[in-house]
Amino acid sequence: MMTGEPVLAVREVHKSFGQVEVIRGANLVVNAGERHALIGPNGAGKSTLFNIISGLFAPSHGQIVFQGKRIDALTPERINRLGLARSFQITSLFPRLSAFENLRIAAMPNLGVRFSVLRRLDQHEKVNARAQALLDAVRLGGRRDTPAGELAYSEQRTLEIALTLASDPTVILLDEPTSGMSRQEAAHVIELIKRVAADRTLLIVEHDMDVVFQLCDRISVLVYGKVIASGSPEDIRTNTAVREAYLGSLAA
Amino acid sequence: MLAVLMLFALPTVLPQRAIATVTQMQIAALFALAFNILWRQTRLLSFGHAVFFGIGMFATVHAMRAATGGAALLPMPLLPLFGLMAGLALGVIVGFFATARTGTYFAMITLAFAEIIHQLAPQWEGMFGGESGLSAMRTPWAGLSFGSDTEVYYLVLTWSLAAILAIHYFTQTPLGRLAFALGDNEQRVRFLGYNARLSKTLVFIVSAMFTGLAGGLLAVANENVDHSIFRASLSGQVVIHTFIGGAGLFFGPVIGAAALTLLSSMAADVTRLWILYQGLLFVVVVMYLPQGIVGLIADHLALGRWRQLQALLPPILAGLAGVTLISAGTIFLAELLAALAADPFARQAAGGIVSVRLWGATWDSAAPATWLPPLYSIAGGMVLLHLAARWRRHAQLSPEQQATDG
Repeated sequence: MMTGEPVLAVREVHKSFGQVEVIRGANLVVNAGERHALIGPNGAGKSTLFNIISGLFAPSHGQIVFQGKRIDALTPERINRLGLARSFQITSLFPRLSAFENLRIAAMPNLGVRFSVLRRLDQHEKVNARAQALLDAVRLGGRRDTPAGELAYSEQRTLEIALTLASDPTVILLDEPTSGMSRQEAAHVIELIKRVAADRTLLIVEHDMDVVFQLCDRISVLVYGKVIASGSPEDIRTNTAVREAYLGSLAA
Repeated sequence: MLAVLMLFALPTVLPQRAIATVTQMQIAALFALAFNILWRQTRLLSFGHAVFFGIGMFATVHAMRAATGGAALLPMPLLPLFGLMAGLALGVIVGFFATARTGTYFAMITLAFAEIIHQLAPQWEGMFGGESGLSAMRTPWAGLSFGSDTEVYYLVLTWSLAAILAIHYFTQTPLGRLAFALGDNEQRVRFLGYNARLSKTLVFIVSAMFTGLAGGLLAVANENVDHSIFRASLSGQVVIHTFIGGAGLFFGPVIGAAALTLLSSMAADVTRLWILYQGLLFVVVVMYLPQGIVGLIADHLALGRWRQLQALLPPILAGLAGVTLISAGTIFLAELLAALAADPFARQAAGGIVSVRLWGATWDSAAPATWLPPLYSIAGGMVLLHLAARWRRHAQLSPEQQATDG
């Protein structure tokens, strides 16, 4: 993948819920190979923008362009199949299924297995191999057969990320992957993200500034439904508008 | 394996009448198992499964009539396949609409479809035979006359076992695993690249298909069917069978449906209140045994070690005794009430009092003293059950815990 060309673009996106306009003309460009953070104060609309990009909501106005193709009218499953996968801030797994089985379900579509009833899933070698590889990659091999609902919280968060990777997407959207974790657990997850997202484009919502500065090479700041700045960590640190709107409010 | 061998050996030891009952039990078991594909895996609760069962019966009866008329499309033992195909076809239509919604609305749509067909069926004479329904005859095939209950038993048993194996296999296939994922978290399934509605429709079709097969088997066994098969109470019956047995376990519905079908056939000669007792049992199971009766038994078997089970045995027996006392008291009470509420003609004929024959004695329902034994029995049973529960909790603790427990 060439680094530098835009792979995902949000253009003048608006979104209203009833009378309330949550996103007010947001613009965002994510280039191929970037690790891009979307930050902003509470209520800025970060999760809403994620939900719009990933297809949960359609925007009221504006366009979402992914690899040159408009995706703002597509369903979540279509967007996923085009190569854009997301994780959820509130862990979203299949609690009755084991960690391994969660990954098999996630890996099936991209390997052309969906609704087959002729063979047992155990006999679909490619799916099993892919799920096992993912399990090992996120170091959950020891918890292979534990139901996802019985995993520890940090293990569930890790599995959440692994599910997102299962379809081998071009772009990954991670919604607060370290939320609710201890410092040490968060550090593990950051290391994990760096490793598994090495050759992919990453857009991440994150509250923890340490995480953002460690992980990302580009940052966009969303305030009241608008992206007010976008640039390298250095640019953002020194940007006066950002300091006023966001970092300033933290300092106060 | 042993259970399967026993099922094959059963007709050699059972009286004729009982063979037909066991056949009905197998069909009810398959019906409940097919229904529970939707609930256990995908968490979709259908309140209209009688339509798939009924359409399977009608399709098979039509095929049997065609065979009698000389137009045998398939050999006699394969005619239930028409039930399967009809269930599948109707499953496509109902499934398409019902899966547009989940939860209560899904249940309402299935209920509405069942009621539409229930109301329309008597109007369509050619298809559903009007008020009197349709009859058919089993035709001989390959030297088998299918004239006796025993031959029908083996035909139904073969189909039921094959269908149970197929449904179990289904749970292991990609679509079967996906069905569990859908039941857990439909939104995540969408964000992993699946069309969730199509997925749910496919699972619905599988369930409807096996339900139609169960209907086809009943058509072969009964040789007739009428539009009342579409009634809501039959759709409710399969829900009750499934939940009393244990909706969360693969074999829960099988055991639940078989046991309740047997009990209902035994109770038919003894009481007119069977539906009431079944309803009470359903309420108690839903309130206190979310995993059903099979779940309760499985939990106790999972205790595994004989020593542990041995320690728990006395409280378990005491609990069973309590349950028995409450049940006996409740049945006594219900029968007395039913006798009091009996129609005036019956009461006049009996000279003003209506007596109840129960537990080998005759009781005068109008005498106040008659009401005391059932009330004592219920109260005693409740006390016993309460004590057994405390006893059990105490027995379950390890010695160290008991020491710290004081």
